Amino acid sequence: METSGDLVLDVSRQGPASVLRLTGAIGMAEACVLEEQLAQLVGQPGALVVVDLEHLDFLCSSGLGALIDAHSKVRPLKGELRLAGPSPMVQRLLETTRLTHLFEVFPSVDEALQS
Amino acid sequence: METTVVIPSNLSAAHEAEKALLDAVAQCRYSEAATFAIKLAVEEGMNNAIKHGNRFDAAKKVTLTYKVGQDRTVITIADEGPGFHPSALPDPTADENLEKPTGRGVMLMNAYMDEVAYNDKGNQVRMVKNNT
Repeated sequence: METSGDLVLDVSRQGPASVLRLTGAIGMAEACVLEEQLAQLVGQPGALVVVDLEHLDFLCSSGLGALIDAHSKVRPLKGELRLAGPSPMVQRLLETTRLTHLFEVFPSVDEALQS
Repeated sequence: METTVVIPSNLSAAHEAEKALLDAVAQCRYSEAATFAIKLAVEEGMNNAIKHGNRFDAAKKVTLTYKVGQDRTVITIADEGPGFHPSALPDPTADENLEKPTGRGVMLMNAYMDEVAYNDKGNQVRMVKNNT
């Protein structure tokens, strides 16, 4: 578990997937830590990474940028980045930015893992 | 009551200033959606001022002015940079820009606040959120 400002990051393995649970809020300062953590997880060929957003209260554009950066890194390696359990506020943010067209978003981690 | 805070161009100082503003919003019992909108807009505005406006120059300041009322919150953020033209920014929601990791801040401020206006130079933004 790692803490940065208002954000707690917790990585676990669930079968073939890495699940990154985010708790708290991601502003510009926390986005750098998220980007570094995701870079570690998506670096392996064929990596499946599920980002658990259920306990994330806030996300700014820098945090979105960290997710996009990871998506861009994992795709050439035939891997996948999936988002799970966003709150209504974060879901609206993903829709407003049209990033629901870029990411697969699932209601829960279980559903993201089973897809 | 209007509050003005002048901070150096660093994220830690911005965080403290934002926190005080959001504490004032919480005291006025804004809706969850309005609170999220204000937090997002202030975060994006302060980031733009520090990163793009003042370019993290420690000698340059960011001025945050706000007035939180029961009916609406008015926020002004000014930096000491050269300014920019918001209308000249590419649309981050266009298909060709979706995979770009940056360039969403101004669009989000427009999407989440009820009023957004810049001064002629483009280094000061005034935003309004109604408590609905």
